[in-house]
Order: sequence, then structure tokens, then C-alpha cells
Amino acid sequence: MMHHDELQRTLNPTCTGTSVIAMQYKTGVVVMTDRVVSYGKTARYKNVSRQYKVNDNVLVAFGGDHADFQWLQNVIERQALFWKRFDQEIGPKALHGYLTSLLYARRCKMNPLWNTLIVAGIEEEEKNNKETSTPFIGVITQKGCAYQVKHVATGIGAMLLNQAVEDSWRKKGGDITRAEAEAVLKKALELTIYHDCTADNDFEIGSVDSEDGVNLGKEETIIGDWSIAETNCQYE
Amino acid sequence: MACSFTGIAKNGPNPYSEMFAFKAAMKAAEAEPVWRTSRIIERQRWNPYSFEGGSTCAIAGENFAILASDTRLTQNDINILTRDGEKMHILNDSIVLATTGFYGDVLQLKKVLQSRLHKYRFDYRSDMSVDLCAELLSRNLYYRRFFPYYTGAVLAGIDEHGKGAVFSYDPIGCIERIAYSASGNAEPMIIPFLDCQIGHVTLSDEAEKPPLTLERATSLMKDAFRSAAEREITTGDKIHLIIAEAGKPIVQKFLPLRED
Amino acid sequence: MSIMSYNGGTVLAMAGEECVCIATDLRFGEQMTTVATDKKKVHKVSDKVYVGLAGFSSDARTMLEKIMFRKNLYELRESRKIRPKVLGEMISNLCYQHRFGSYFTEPLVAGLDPDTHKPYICAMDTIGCIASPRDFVAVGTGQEYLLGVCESYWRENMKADELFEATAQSMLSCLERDAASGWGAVVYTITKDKVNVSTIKARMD
Repeated sequence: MMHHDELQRTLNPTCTGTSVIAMQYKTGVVVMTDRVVSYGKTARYKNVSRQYKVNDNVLVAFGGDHADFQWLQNVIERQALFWKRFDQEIGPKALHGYLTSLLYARRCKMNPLWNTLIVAGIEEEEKNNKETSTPFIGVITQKGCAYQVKHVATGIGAMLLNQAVEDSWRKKGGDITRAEAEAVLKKALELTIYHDCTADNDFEIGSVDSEDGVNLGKEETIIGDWSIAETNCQYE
Repeated sequence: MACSFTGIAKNGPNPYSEMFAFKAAMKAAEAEPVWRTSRIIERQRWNPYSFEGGSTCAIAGENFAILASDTRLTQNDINILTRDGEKMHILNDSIVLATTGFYGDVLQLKKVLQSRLHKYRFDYRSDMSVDLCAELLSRNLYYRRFFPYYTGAVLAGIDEHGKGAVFSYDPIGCIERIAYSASGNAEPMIIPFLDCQIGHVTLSDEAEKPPLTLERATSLMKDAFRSAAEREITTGDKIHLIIAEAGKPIVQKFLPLRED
Repeated sequence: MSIMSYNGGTVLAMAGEECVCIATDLRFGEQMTTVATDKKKVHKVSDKVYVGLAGFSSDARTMLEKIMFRKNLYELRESRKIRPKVLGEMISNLCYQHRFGSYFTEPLVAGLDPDTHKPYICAMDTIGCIASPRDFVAVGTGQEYLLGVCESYWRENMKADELFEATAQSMLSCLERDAASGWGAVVYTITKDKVNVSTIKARMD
């Protein structure tokens, strides 16, 4: 028996964001998202950030339904304020756990949040410990399946980019500088704009660093190499 | 009702019940419009499960239990989410939970068990034994009989008598204590191998059967996963090995496996 | 229940050094009921060429008749024994002729080349896509169980007796777990001098 399901639940996403790509470097994390929200295959809203700064230690980036993410931003803000009442800042692991439970609870109600979330950050104690300072990237899928990674690409990027990102990660033996990590992400974005029709060449790279804290990156653009288009005969 | 005060005739049709009937009919029509064919309904139904693949396996010995799993998490059977997923969870010094299936449920199940074990420790000031935990897990699985945890659980550890124990479950809590068990996508490949090598089911009754030592169990486990990784695409990347021996701390190891 | 597992049954072939083994179980069922316990799914086609037909039994039988017809015609026309590889291609061709209404049987060919004694094994799906690896092939309801154990037991260049042992052990392990196959097995060990047929007892249920 159906009860207005399709009217009151996100059983199909409406306005969506595509891939998120994130990578650890020695003392932090860089996260890249493009700046478009699509309505089907239409680039419906441009110049929209898909990253949310929680506090100086945590950054959340998302793929999937934009409305659900805007609602989630509010939930996250309230959770962060709840921690502030005890003079604490919510850390990435705690937020990752909280969001995992939230997404899992919603799927159990058959009323899912249509998002893939990337929680990036550094724990406060790790931040002060210059020796280990291990950054954190946690992924949560729509149904509450959660795991931690050193580098990740979600959405279409999971099919297109994961291996490319992993190869460049392994080439450096995991010991990677921030500039190198950013270069890998930019190369990855170049690959998505060639292959993913809902990806855009307007993007931003947010970062969490043990010294600088969270920075939402400024808007950037890449063109890529379209010389191959001359030889493509499938369009005029 | 208070109809008599409002001047509505007692004997005529009751406007309230008519109104409620109309509302109910509206609601029903809205929920199940005639143009929604069964195919459309089927297409719009959302599947709350996904499958992250992989396999786990456990062997019980005289005074040890050994568990292994691969560390790959997959999406749609073809796309690797991560090469370092954790399918095995050490619950206390003598209990290990190994699960495959829907990873969201795996995490939830782990969390539920951990909190129950924590409370047990608080209440009784000792760790729960593996037999009790096995029963607890069975009931937790059956509690969700009509919206099951989609997990193939294997619980293993050292019991109160210092013997190795392996418990095998189906998704809704059917429990059995057995000598060895496997679950996950490569289960049909691993189980007959262990039947042959540990159960000795293919040997005649007179044949000499080698005893199961920890070394032999470990190498069988490695062989089982290496051959499973040859043929089963969601199994691979790393073997995660956990060895629990009576009176010793739990040991963990990671061994390489094919990554394609 | 799929039509492919209506009757049950499993066939396995393994290749060694100048020898091949092909094994079949003996159960013939109708879904959960066992109807006969002496049903071989492996058939001799030529001196050193055997074919196994797992799947829906009626189709397997029709298929066997068609195979024999074509093979006889081939041998008459060419005046020489058919090679296993040729037989494999022929069966594949036969299967693909029924691409859009296929016989529900997965054929498996095992044999030695009559001249060079080179072993050949192959299996195909219902529409004739050939897989011809150098180690082993399995078809039928116990396929998955077999592939796991065979992967552990198969080694390079096994002699006839080793090969028999590996095949028999794999088959027995499979029959232990596959409910749709059982009631013993028959293993044909094909060497250049002779074909050894041994019936082995397994889980008799």
C-alpha cells in the first residue's frame, strides 16, 4: 500500500550535484566540487557551493539532492551548536558518526536523504600533535553505508575517477603535498568535464589544514584541452 | 452526538459521517490513483538495501578461533568503494563479529552489539562470553524479522571452556554452532573447500585425518581466499586475518590479495 | 526455480599432461524430487572425445542427438576422427543457430586430439559462447561450488592419476553442498592409451 510516498519523500532526486573528489595530504584534506546544480541534465543553478564549513576543523561536501543538503546544513549547524553548549567543537569523526546514524535512520523509515556525503577534517588533538596530525575523510552513502578513506571520488566520479586518483596517490606512496593533491584534483575535474555531462568547469577546492583550519576555496575555472573535438565527427 | 442542538434532523443522513467517508475516499484515490499501473508502482518503489559484496570465513579449533575476510567494499558489484573496508569487528577480548551483506546494516548491528556488551560490562563487571553474545546476536537479528538486517553474520571467539567457537547465522537470526563457516559472495566457493580439508567429508572412514592445528587452519584460510579472489569479483584487495587463541590476546594481520 | 536447475546435475572437466578428466554426478530430479539415481550427463562422442550436457534434461537429450548426427556426418565426409576442438566449435555453432529460442543446456567438451594427444576442454553457455581455459571448466547447478575447490586443487601438468584424484575430490566436495546433484559420480580419465571409467560413492542423497 502506497501512502503519498512520491509526494512526501525523496524517492527521486530533483536538483542534484554530481561528483565530489577529496584527497588527503600530509597535514590536511582538499575537497573539490564543481559549482553547478543540475535539474536532470539541465544546468539549473550555477555558482552554487556544494561545500559547507561546520567549524574550523570540519568541512562537509555533498553529491545528490540539493534540497536535502540544504536541510542537512541546518541539521549540522544545530548539532554543532548543541556541542557549543558544552564548550566543545564537533570533530569530523563525531560528525561522520552522527550523519551515518541520521542517514541510516532515514533509510529505515523508507524516507531516505538522497545524498552522498564527504566529511573532511582534522580532530582537534591531531591538530595540536604535529608528529602524527592525521587528517580524516569519511564517506556516507545514501543508505547509511559509511567508511573512511585516504582519497575518494563519488557519484559518476566513482566510476570515472577513483582509479585515476588512486594511481596518482600510489605513485607518490601516499606522501603527498598540498600542491600535488590540488593538481591531482584539478586533473580529475578535467576528466569529469570531458565525460560527465552534468559536471561543470566552474569549481572550488575547499581545504582543511592543521594550521590554516577550514578554507572554502574561491571560484575557479578550467577550460581543458578540446583539440580532440576537431576530429570528432559525431556532431557538426 | 450534539446534532440536536445544531438543528440538524436526527433521522436524515449524518453529514459528519458522510464528510468522513468522502475524505477517506479522497485520500484513497490520492494514494492509489487509477493511472498508476503496477509497473509504475514497482519502478517507484525504493530499495532500502544495497550490497557491498566480499566474503568472510571462520574456523574453530581446539583452543583457537581464526577469522578472515577480504577488505573490499563494492558498489553494484563492479565498482570499488574502498580497498580498506572493515568487515570484521573485535567486540571484546574473546568475541569477533564478521559480517557481509548490506554495510549500513553491518555498521548498525555492530553498534547495537557493542552497546549491549558495554552495558553488560557495566552491569556484571565482566566481559560477555561468546555463547551469550551469540544468542544475543540471534535475537537482535530476529527482532528485525520483517525488515531484516541484510547481513550474513559469523560470530567467533573463545568460549568459557577455552575452546574455539564459531556461530553461523542467516539474515533473520537462525543460529548454529559449527566447526567452520563462511558467508558472503564467495561462500559457495569457500565452503566445499573447507568441507574437504577440515570436515574431511571426501575421505573414507579409514583414512588418516590430520589434526587441525593453528598453522594448518591459517594456511587453509589463505588458500581459500586466494582461490575465491581468482573467481569472485567482489572479493579481493587484502585478507584481514584475526586469530584468537585461548589465554592470549587477539592478533590481527593483513595479507595482500589480488586487486583486480 | 529456473529451468536450468529443474533437473539438477553437474559436469566438471580438468586438463592434465596428455590427459583429461571429465566427471558427472548421477542424480536426475524434478525440482526437489529425485527421480533417478543413475543418470550420466557425460556421453562418449568419439574414441577420446566426450561431451557433458548439464541443464534441462529433455533439451540435453535432443542436443546430444543433434551432436551425434553432425559428428557422424563429419566423420563420414572427412574419413577421420573428429578433434575435440572441432566438436566444440560445432556444438557452439549448433547452439547459436537457436540464439532466440535456445536449448536450456550448457554443453561441455573434453578430449584428446586423436593425433597429437593434446588435451582440450571447453564449456559454453546455452547460446554457444565458448570458454576454453587451460585448467578446468564446470557447468550445472554445482558450478560455483566446483570453481572454488578446483581453483585450489588444480596444478600445472598433472599426470593421469593425480588428475583423477583432483577431479574426484573436487566433485565429491561439490556434491557435499549441492542439493540438486549427488548420488555418486562417474569420472572418465582419458589418456592416450585408454579411457578409465570409475564410479565413486559420494553423499548418496
